[in-house]
Amino acid sequence: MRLDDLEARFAARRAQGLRRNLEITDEGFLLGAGTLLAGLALDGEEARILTVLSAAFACAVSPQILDVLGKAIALWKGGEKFRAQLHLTYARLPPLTEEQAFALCAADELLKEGMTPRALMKGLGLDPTALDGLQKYNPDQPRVPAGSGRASGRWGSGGGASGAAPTLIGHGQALSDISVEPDGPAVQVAQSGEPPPIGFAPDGTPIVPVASADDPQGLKAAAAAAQAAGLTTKEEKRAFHNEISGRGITDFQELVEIAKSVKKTP
Amino acid sequence: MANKVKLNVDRTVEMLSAISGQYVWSVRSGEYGVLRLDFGKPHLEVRGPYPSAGKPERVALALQRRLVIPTGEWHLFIEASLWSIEAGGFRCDRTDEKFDERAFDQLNGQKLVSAVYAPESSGWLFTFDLSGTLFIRERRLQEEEDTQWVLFFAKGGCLFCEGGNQIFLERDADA
Repeated sequence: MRLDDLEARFAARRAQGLRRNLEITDEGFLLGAGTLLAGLALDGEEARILTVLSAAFACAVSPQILDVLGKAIALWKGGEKFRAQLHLTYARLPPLTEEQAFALCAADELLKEGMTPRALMKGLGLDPTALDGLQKYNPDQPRVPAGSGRASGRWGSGGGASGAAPTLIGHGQALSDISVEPDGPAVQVAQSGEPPPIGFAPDGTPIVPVASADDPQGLKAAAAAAQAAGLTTKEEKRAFHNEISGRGITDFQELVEIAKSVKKTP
Repeated sequence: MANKVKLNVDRTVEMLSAISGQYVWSVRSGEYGVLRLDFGKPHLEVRGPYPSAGKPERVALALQRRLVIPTGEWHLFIEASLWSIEAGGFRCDRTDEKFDERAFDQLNGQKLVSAVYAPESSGWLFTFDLSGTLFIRERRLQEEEDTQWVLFFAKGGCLFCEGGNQIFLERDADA
């Protein structure tokens, strides 16, 4: 496929708007310039999803993002549309830039044209071992929930030939927090001796005490609750934080209840 | 409702200079690693109780109480930003596994000397008279609209920073 063709297709899609963040719809997961990342069923699409995301962000994306998408689908199909959208924040994908949206679109088109995910990964200079890990990935295996502040569900690389460790992103891991072991097979680091959960995320995922006192995931949940409750001013949001401080409330609906209560009455 | 006006860095520094010479007190961390600091004379901020009938137990417990919080004329609330404090030989950083509250304790009672924007590190540096420092730098969580930090004024309104170090002045429309 010619670059001109790709650019023309991107321009046509881009004219419809740009989604900087992953969005779930009745059609499936949309990102960038209308790129349909996946429908509301992931079976058989896993390698393609990882490849186009890796192409967009120019680094290998953790297969654990599939788990996030799967749970979002379950919530969406169960009528929990808001929670499904909120759950996608656990993917921790950074907002897409225009260039990344083009890369996403181009990768999607190339795969549609028949290129294999592995070939595309190699062609982009990315380590395709993330796709090997995909075969070993078991979404039912317990992992540290996203946003726990630890390197939840880190995956190793079978590569290392280049000596440079590509970066994995996704599933609660900040870009700078994630690394790939330079040697060894693709394995998920075993999580043992976990402390008991202190609460539950919107999807029911248990939240364990964070290794760091910082908790960006909790902060995002609180911000989402404030938004859902219609808090608009900084003063209202501050009052909301005062109310939840020290309470250990992590249930999203409970946070929304409190946020609604502190909202200024007109 | 509130209205907001965008400010440039110079204007922001000028507004922050209003708290120069003020004591910082009640330096403490809150839920999710937010940081709170008060400046200037304290007053009592009273909130609640709120109606709690029929609410889940934990929600009811939070709402049925009355919160009385000593608050300064200026209250700095660091929400999404990364922050680090160095004071009295102790250091505490938002990304620490556990906060060393000795740094908070050492910063308490110091007078703010200056608050300046450090363009090379895209952050704000607050320096204090007993060599304490507070450094705040942007962290993108999701959206550009993420609130990085807010300086509340007891007289109403606030100064706040969003992604890209965009600073706004917010005033209640009915104030």
